[in-house]
Amino acid sequence: MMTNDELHRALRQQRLSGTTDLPNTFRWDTIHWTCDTSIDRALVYELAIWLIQRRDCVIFGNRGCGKSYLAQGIGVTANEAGFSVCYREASRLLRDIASATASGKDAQVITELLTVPLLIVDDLKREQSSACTYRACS
Amino acid sequence: MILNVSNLPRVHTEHVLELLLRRHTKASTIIISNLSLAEFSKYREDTPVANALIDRLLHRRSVIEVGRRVD
Repeated sequence: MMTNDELHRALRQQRLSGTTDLPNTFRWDTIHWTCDTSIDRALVYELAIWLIQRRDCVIFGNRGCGKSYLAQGIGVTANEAGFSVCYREASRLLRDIASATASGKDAQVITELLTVPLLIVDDLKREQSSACTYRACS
Repeated sequence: MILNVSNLPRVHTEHVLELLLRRHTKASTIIISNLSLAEFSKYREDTPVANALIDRLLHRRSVIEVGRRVD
């Protein structure tokens, strides 16, 4: 388990090496993690490290385990620290891109999605609900 | 592959996958799924883009499994 001291040391090293633009007010220990005690708080810190290293992460787990809550906690914390964060359900992301393509704004939308420092894609699965009623070009 | 929303052309799914692929190492992406790691890995078989994306996602072992699951 990584302690707060170790985490802050890692953050300072990141700053010194110039690989991140974290604001000085950034504090990972402001994450409040009380909803689900089965989730190790250290996981949140691990995610934080991945975030500042511009890495990707996949979170697996059954429904109700707190996957989305975990990711949202990271997202909110990152946003409060000055990062732009985009949180989308996978089906919504797909519809947004389809809609942008249909209206000729796909380049703008895709550029935004490419450059946002943290993109969270929730509920990625093979088959989306057939209840989706979006019509691309009707 | 992964995103197969009814009534939408398949090309948009490829756009999403390419988006995630292009973000790799340039910006952070968190992906959340109810699937198991083994199920997720099966996506590789779907398209070349899916294969490349999953290779990169799993390459650094950036995988978190939350809670208990029964496989």
